[in-house]
Amino acid sequence: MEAKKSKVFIDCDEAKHICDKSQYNESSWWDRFRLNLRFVYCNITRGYVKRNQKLSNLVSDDKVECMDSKSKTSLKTKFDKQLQNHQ
Amino acid sequence: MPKHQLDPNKWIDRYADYLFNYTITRVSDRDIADDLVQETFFSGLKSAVNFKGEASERTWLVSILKRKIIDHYRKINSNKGKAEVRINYKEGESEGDWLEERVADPFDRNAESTIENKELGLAIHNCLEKLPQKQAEIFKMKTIQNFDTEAICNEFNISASNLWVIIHRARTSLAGCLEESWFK
Repeated sequence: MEAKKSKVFIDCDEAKHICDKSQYNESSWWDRFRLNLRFVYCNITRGYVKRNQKLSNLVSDDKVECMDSKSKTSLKTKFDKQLQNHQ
Repeated sequence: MPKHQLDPNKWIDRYADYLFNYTITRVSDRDIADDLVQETFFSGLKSAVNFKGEASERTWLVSILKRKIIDHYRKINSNKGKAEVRINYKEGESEGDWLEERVADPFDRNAESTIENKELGLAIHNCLEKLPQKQAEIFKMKTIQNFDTEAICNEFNISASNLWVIIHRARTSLAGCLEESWFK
């Protein structure tokens, strides 16, 4: 028989999932509460949260830039034409 | 046989973001960066016959891009007067009043942190290149370009739970890669 899932105490995988969502401000306050609760007593969760936040800090603050999707699509179209002429 | 070979069909997917990041930190204008990256790919295609295969594809493209950036600044500087810094006084201000306030900006980034950020940006792109293409694209859209979950799901025809699994895998791989290359 499957054990009944607690509403308050979550497992490690769910904690990781909530932590990922929290990096994008997409978790609810209830999820964050449950994550914080697990954070108190679970070493693995603590490690994951710290590592994940470190990554978010690195990637934020204009340190990384990507080409705009529209610009990339337009570049791809132009380049493909050029490539066909070249071959 | 040469160590490296060119595969122009994959250039845009593999290197467009890396080259764009490289350029934007040097020219600070997205439109100009777009143009310079485009010119780099076109020039690369034209001079592909000269590729000896001693350097990697990306290193070779970066060397072309560097020339394009230098040419861009030469062009700007040859238009005399445009590079001049002009300061306009506001009403009630006279020469000397503004100096202390405006010259020093304690909250501005110093040169060291700017260089560090440039290198970090490239290190992150290096690690992104090691991820499976779809994973990297989804991570970039979600984390760097701040697209909505729904928009990404529609674009890639995946469910929200699939997206979070992909994001989780990408974040775990990236964190591991950056620990090796950036924090070591």
